[in-house]
Amino acid sequence: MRRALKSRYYDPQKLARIKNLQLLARTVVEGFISGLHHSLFKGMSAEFAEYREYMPGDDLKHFDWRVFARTDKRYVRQYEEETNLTCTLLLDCSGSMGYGSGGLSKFDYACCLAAALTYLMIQQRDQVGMALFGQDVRRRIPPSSTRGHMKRILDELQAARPEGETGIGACLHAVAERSAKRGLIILLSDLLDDQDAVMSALSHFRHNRNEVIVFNLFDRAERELSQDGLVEFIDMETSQTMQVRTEVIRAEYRRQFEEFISQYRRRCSAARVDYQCVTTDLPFELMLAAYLNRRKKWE
Amino acid sequence: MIHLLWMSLAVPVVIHLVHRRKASRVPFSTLRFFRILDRRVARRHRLKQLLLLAVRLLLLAAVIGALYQPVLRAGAAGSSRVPVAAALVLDNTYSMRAVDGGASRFERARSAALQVLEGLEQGDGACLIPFDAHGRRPGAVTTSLENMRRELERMQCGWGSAAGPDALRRAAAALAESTQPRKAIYVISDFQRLSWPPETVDVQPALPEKAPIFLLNVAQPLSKNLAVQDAQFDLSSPVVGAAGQLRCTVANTAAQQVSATIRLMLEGRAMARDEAVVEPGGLHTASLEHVFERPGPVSGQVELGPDQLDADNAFYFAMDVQERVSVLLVNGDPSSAPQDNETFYLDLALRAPGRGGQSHSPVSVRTVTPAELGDERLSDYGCVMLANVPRIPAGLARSLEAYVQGGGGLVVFLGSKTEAQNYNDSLSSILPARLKGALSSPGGAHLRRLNASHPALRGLAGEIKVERTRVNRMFDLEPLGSAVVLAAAEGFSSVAPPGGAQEAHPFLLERRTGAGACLLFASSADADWNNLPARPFFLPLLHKIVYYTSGLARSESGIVVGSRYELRLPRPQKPVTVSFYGPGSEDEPAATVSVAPDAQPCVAAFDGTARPGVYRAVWEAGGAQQTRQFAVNVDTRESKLACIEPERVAAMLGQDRAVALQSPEQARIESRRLSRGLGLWNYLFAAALALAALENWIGNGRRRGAGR
Repeated sequence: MRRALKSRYYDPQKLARIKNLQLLARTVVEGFISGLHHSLFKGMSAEFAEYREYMPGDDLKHFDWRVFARTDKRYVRQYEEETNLTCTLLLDCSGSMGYGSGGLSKFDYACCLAAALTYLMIQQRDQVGMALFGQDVRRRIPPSSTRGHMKRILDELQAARPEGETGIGACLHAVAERSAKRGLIILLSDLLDDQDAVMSALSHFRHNRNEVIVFNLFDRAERELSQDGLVEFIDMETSQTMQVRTEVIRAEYRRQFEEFISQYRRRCSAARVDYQCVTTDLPFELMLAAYLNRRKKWE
Repeated sequence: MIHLLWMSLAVPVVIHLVHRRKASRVPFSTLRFFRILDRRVARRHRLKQLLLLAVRLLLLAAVIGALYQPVLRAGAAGSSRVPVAAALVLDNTYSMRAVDGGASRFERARSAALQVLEGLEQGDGACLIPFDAHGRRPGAVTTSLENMRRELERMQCGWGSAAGPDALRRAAAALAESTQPRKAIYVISDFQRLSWPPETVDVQPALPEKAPIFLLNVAQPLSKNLAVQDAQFDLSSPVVGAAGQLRCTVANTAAQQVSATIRLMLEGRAMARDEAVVEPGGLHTASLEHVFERPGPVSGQVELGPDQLDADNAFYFAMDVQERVSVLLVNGDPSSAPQDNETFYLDLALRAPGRGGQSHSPVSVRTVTPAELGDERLSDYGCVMLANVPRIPAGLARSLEAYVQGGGGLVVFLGSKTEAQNYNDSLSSILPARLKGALSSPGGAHLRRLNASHPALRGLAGEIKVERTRVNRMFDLEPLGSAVVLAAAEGFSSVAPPGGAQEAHPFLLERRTGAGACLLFASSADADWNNLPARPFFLPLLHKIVYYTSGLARSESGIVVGSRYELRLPRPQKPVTVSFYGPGSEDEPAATVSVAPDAQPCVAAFDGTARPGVYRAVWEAGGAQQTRQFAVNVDTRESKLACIEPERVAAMLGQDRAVALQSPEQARIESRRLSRGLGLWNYLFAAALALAALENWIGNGRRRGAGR
């Protein structure tokens, strides 16, 4: 399955070599959109604007059958665009996000995904905001839908570094307290924190009638503990060390890890939070598709 | 060099230490999952590593230790080696010739003895004690183990039969003379029950103190074995033209029913045969008849087909076939009418032609009157028959006594002229009974109680229809001490005793005196007192009696293997050299014995009867070469293959010193342990193998767990 996905979409490892986030985001989004059969950017509003010649891929529900009957010409109706979605990207910048076994860290992956989502949403005239947090909220960018705003977000992403410890619960609570407007919350994090606190914060968003998508990011080596032999692991947040003979504990580790994920999945489902467990070798396009599915529900 | 190997013990330690320090440092997102893992996993891992280290160290130590070939000696640790004297008591009796399990018992026993020698070291001694030590002195303990080995390899199984206790005594005697401080006895045998009688326990005091006795049984059960236990001609001295009955007994000493052909072989030719089917533990008696056609020495054997123990399949005999037997008839009641002569029927019967196409009788008869008897040289006759001779003068009585003492056969028929008192007085030293008064029975008495096993009646008893015999008169005889009653007559009492059985009066008796015998008929030789001359059995009965009595002096029953044969010679004028030839050795005598004229007795003794067969003794006498054949047979008791458990023999010899071994290898191990101490290297190598397996198991434990 993964091999099939990689052949269809861009390999995240290769995309990550594009240092310009805007270019990367456009590459991802345009490539993703070109594979869809209908337009994403028109016809979202009820206010009619003009006709446009039908093009393959246009949604047939906007096809004007009367004009077609009278003139034998194919037109679709276009409407005044109207932004009705405010999305806030919450990016975990703690030290643990810096882990990556194949050159692409979780943080890099999260930045790329955030950039692509931002690009996509700005293209859709949605308002995009962002908050970077570690142990506390480090940076907060209020929502906007201008192209200049997108550049600002991308600049912030390029400037951000994973460091420090994690305080996901407190940070999310803080963000939830300050965002009065109902919207879409996209959390990009490895969620390696107290699970109750994280779920409490997510419930806070839901309480504010926000839709929430959680991209729980992991590196595959981190998930499978693929290292061999006696290994001294250094905690990237606390710098604590622990010597482990991996072949001795691997099975037990995997079991614990999968239990961790399955608990998040179960609790998010209970809280009606869209939970996506993502390993950094999965194409970004799949995450965009997950977003769009959620976006449709919003409509 | 081996000492340097101890340094290799450092290898697992170094590996252990290096392995511990090889941890790679890897930044990781979180340690939370490691922390919540059971800490016992880590502890278990450390324990496993330490255990692996210990196992590897022990493994190396075991291998290196084994290379030292350490031994565990009895006594103080570190004591120097004490030389051992081992007595190899080897069963070489003929039952060891049995082939079971693809090899003979003796071959297995020899192999086991060689293994014992293999366990000895330089300075140790050994001696070989055969069960059957015939013809050889029990060897002294020798330290030349190589010579002992060669002697064992050359050794052949014997034909004798011997008891285990005797062999043990000889072993004890040999060990008593050895200089080695430690002694041991190895008994390698098939443990026949008859070799280990209950008296075995009496050997204990003779055995050397603290000397262990190891008992090794090399026998496996036999399924098929017939043994010829006995074979005898009814005629000890056959005569040309006289039918000889050879009676042989065959025993089944194995576990399965066996059918076999019994053959009478004479001079290499099969003369008669009989088929036998014998149940396990059963006996079969065969009767093979043969009529000798020419005089002279003859030898042969009764033989069976091959089975698992061939040694007891043949029984040898040797005889001298006589041209004719001379019989002197003494007519005590002569008459001008031939048919009224007292010896009429005797003469008629004895002159009948012999069997086997002979035109003349095997018996040469001469009849004389009592008065002429004194002129006869009795030694010219094989048998003298007195028929109704009235009285025996004292001089004649002495001649008859000397004649019987010298091997002659005297047959006495009584009658109306017999003076009982005179007989009782003059012939008391040779007659088998005292003569009392005459008995009469108008109705006629009958012969009863025939002694069918007596050689003179053997084969005839069935032919005598006793109810058709009639005895009107006879002498009442009072048997003397050594007399044997061959037949009795019933019917002389008019009133039956309360028990209902008639009183039996001895009718025919035998008494052996010196080398000869005297047979006494209570009735007459003619038909005056009885009807025996008219009965069909009269002729063969007379012939058998003649052959029996006339051959007594020359009868030579065979001897068993290992026995001494003594050839009695007439006193020579000058020294006589007697050469003894064994079976199959026609040219080279087995032994040569000189007999001096003044030797007392004048006997040539031969001890080389080591194997069964027909032997010859050849000597010069009177300018002519004389030959005497004699048969040597195995002791058929040895064919009884019932075994006794070595553990029971061990119990009889003392549980504290006698041990039953299970295999020849164990004998070698015991021998080595005694000589060098208990070799520990085998155990160390075994421990090393076990440790290697343990190390592999421990080392792969996690992988097994992961596989699950």
